Amino acid sequence: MGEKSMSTILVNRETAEKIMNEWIKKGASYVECRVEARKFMRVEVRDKEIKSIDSGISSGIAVRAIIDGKIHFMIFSEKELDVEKIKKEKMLSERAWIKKVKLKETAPMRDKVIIKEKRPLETISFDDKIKFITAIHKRAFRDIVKSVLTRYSEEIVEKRIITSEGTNIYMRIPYVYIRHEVTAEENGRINSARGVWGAIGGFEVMDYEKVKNHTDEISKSACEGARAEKCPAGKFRVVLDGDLNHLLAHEALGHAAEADIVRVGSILKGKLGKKVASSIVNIVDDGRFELDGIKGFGWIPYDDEGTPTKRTFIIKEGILNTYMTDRITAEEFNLELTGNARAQDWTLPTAVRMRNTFIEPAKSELGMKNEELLQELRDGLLLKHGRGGQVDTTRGVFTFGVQEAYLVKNGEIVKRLSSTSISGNILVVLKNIVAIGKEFDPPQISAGYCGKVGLVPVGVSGPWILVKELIVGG
Amino acid sequence: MSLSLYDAVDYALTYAEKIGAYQAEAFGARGKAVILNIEKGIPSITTSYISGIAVRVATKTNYGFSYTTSLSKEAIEFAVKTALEGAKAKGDDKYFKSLPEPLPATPITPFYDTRIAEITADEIMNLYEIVRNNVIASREKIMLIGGGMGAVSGETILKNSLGIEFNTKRTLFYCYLYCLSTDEIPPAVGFAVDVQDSLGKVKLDRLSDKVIEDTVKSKRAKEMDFVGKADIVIMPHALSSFLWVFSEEIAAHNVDRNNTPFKRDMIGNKIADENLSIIDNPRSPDCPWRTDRDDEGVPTKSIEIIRDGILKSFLTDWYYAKKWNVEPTGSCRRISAWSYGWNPFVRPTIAPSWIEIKHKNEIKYDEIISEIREGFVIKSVMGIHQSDFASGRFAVPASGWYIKNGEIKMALRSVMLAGTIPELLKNVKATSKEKERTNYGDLPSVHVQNVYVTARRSPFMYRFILRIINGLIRLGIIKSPIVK
Repeated sequence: MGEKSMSTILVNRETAEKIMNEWIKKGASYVECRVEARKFMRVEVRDKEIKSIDSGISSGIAVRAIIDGKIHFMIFSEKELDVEKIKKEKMLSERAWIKKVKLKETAPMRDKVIIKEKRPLETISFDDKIKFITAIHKRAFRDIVKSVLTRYSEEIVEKRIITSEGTNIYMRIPYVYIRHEVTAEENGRINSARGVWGAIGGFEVMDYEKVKNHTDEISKSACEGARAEKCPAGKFRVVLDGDLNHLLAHEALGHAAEADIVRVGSILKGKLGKKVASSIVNIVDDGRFELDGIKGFGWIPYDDEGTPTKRTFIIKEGILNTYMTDRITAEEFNLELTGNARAQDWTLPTAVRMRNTFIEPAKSELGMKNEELLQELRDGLLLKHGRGGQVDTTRGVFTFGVQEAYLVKNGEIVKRLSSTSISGNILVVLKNIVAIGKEFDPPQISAGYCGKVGLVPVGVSGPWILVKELIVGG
Repeated sequence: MSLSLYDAVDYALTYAEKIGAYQAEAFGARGKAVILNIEKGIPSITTSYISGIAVRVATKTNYGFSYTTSLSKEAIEFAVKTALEGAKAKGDDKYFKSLPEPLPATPITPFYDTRIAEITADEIMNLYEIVRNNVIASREKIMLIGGGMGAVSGETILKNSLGIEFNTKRTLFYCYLYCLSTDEIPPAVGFAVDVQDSLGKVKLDRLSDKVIEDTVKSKRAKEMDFVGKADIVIMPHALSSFLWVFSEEIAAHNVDRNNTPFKRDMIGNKIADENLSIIDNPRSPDCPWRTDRDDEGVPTKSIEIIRDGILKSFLTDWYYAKKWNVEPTGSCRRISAWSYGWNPFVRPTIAPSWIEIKHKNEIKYDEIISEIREGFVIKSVMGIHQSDFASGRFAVPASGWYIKNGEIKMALRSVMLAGTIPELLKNVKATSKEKERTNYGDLPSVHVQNVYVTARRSPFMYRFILRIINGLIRLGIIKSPIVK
C-alpha cells in the first residue's frame, strides 16, 4: 500500500464537509474534522531474537462540534462513518454547572505540508529493514553486555484538518525511531543504559554509520556504569546535559505550564508575569525546531486545531511569559494561541501538549561552550541522560533517574560514577541555574513520546546547564 | 469498498490461504463507546464508533501480527501480507507448533444490556449529575473535580483456519470519580471506581458515598518521621496496583525468560503465607467480562495460581502451553478490547481476567485495624509500573493513614514503601471480609506484616507556611487554588 493508495483510506474532503454540514444544521457554531490515516511497523528484538513484528493501518475521523458553548466529540473508523449516526446524536442539554467554552479567534489556514523522504519508508523492503535492525541490535553486544532490548518503530501519518471557519490543512509526516536498552554486568553489579535515535523523515534517518556509532556509545555507557564507583549522595554543584535539560523543561516545568493542567491545579497557577527562574533562563517550546536541517521529533507546522505553530517562550528572562494553549484555554486565560493542541490520533480528542521543549540562555551571548561550563563548575558532578521519574505538577516536585554521572575536579572530568537520581522543586532549581551552554546535541538522540493523554512525538535536548545546588541520590 | 465485519474476517482468512500462509486467525471487532470525562466543570463527551480486524498469520515455524481499522479489501490484504512477512522475518521458532485448535468449552453467555448500548451522551451526563449533586448535598468542603463514565457495547468475532469460530456481544459501564478537599493545600484526594456489565448494577448513591467518605477521611493529612518495618493494610485500589506487577510476574512470557522472581521450577513450592490462595477466574459470575473462551478461542477455567501458599500455576496462552507442554490456562487477552474506551486492535498478550484473593484469616476490616499496634493503611501508591519485574522489587510513594494502638490516628501525606512482591506474599496475615470492585476483581484489604516504611517531615519553614496558608483558607481570607 503505497503513498497513493494510503490516501484512498483517508476519508475524503467531500465526506468531511457533509459531516460538518450536518452539525451546522444542528446549530453548531464551529465544527472541526480531523481526518487521519496512519500506517505503522514496530519491531522488538531481545537478546538476538526477534520477539515481535507488529504492523497496522489505523484510519478514521474525529469530529468536534461546539453548540452553545458545549463540546460534542465523535469518532468513526472508516467503515463506521455514517451521516445518519450524526443526525441521531442527541445534543447535550442545558445545565447550570457546565462551564461553556469559547474558542480564541484565529484566521483560517490553508496549506499542504508533505515531508519528503530521501529513502521512502514504503520503498525499503521488509527484509532490508529487519536486516538493519538485527545488525544494529547485535552490535550492542560487547564487552560485559549481558542483555539488549531493541525497539524499532516507523509510522507514516497522513492528516487533514478541516474546519467550518475555512481551515483546510493537509499534512504527511513520517517518523522513524530506534531505541536500545543495554544491560551490562560485572562481578554481580548490573547497570543498564538507554538511548534513542529517531527523526522525522524516511529510512535515511537510519544512516548505518550514525546509528552504529550511537549504539556503541550506549553499550559503552552501560559497561562503564557497571564498573563505576558509587555516585555519592547529597547536595552538589552540577552540570546537567541536554537530555536532563529537556527532562526538567518538559516534565518538571512544561506540564505545569500546559493551560489545561493549570486549570485543574499547577504550581504555576497565578504566576504569569512573575519571576519564577534565574534571569538568564528562557524555557522554550518550539513547534518548528530544526538543527542542521534535522527537525525535532515534536516538529509540527500546525497543531491539531489547525493553528500554525511557533517558538513559544514559556519563561523569558526568568519571567513566566505564557502558558501553552489550545483555542479553548487561550480564550479562557486570555492568552495568545501557541499551537499546542495535539492528539495521539483520530481516536482521541486534543489536549494541550508540548512539542520541542528545552532551557536556553536568555541572551545568545550568555551561552557558553560545554568546556567552559565545566571550567565554571570547577568541582562537582556532570550528570548525563535521564531515565524515568516522577513529577507532581501541583507542587513542582520531581525525581528523575540519571544514567551517567562523572566526578569533575578543577573543571576536568576525573572519573565515571554509577547511575543516580536527582530531585527537588523545579522553581528552586530554575532559580539555581547560574550558567547555560550554547551547544545542542543532535535532535535524533532526544526523540521521544509524551504520554499525557495518549502518545505524541516530542523533543528535544537543549544545551548543558550549570546548577549551583541540586539534590543528587539519596 | 468496505466489507462487512463478518465478510472482512472471512476475506482475511481466505486471502491468507491464497498467499501461502500455513495458518491464519482473524479477530473482528465492532463497538460503540460513549465516554464522559469531566475536568473542573468542563465536560468532554466522546461518542465513538470503531470497527476493524486484527490478524495473526503463521508459517510452519512462527507467526506475525497486524491490524487494520479500514475494512477495504486493499487494507485487509496489506494487513495479512505484512503479518505473513513478519512471521517469515521472525525466523524459525522451534517451539511454535500451531495457532490454537478448537477445544470444547462449557458455554457462558455474557450480559448485553440494551440500556448501555443505547445510552446517549446526555443520559450519561444525567448519571454524572446524580453523583455531583450528592457530593454538593454532603455539605462537606470537597469538590467533585473530575472523573468520568463510559458505556461500551460491542461484538467480536474470532475465527481461525483450524476451525475456531467464536462470537461475543457484551456491554460494560465504567465509572470513576475524583474529589478534592477545598479547604486546604495540598488538597486531600478521594476516589471511587465501579465497573459493571449492566446499568442496573451501578449504584451511584453508594459510589457517591464512597468518594465523599474517602475524601473526608483523607483531609488534614499530616507528615511524620518513621523509618523501619511495620504492619500495613493495603486497601483494594492500592492492592490492584501491586497486582499489576504480580500479573506480569506470573505471565508465561516473563516466566519463560526468567524475568520474574517466580521460576518454572518453583511450581509446588511455598511462595506465600500458607493461608493465602490467589485464583484467576474468568468464568466468575461477578466478572463483567466473563467469558467461556479467551481472546484466541481457548476455553477458560478457574486457575489456582497460589493455593494455601503453594505456587500451583502460571498463566499461559496457547503458544507457551505448547512450549511448556502444559494444559493451556486460556489467559490470552486483548486487554483494551473490553476496557474504558474501545481499542481491540492490539497484539494479544497473557493477563489475568478476574482475581480472587482468599485467606483463611478473613476478618472484618475494623478487626484488622484493631490488631495493629503501629502501622499504616495504604490507600494508593504511585509509579508501581517502574518496579523491577525480575526481582519484584518496588520502592513507591504512597498515601493513607497512620495506625497507633489499634486505631486510625491521622491521614498521612506521603510515605515510602519498599520491598518485593515475594516478601509481601509471605507476610500476608489476614484479609478483610469487605471487598471493593477494581479492574482486577472484587478485592479485599490485605494485612501485611514487616514491610519497610519510611516517612519524613518537610522542613519546619515549609510546614509553618503551609499551616498559615491553610489557616487563612479556613478563615475564608484566601481561597484554595482548587476553587479559584
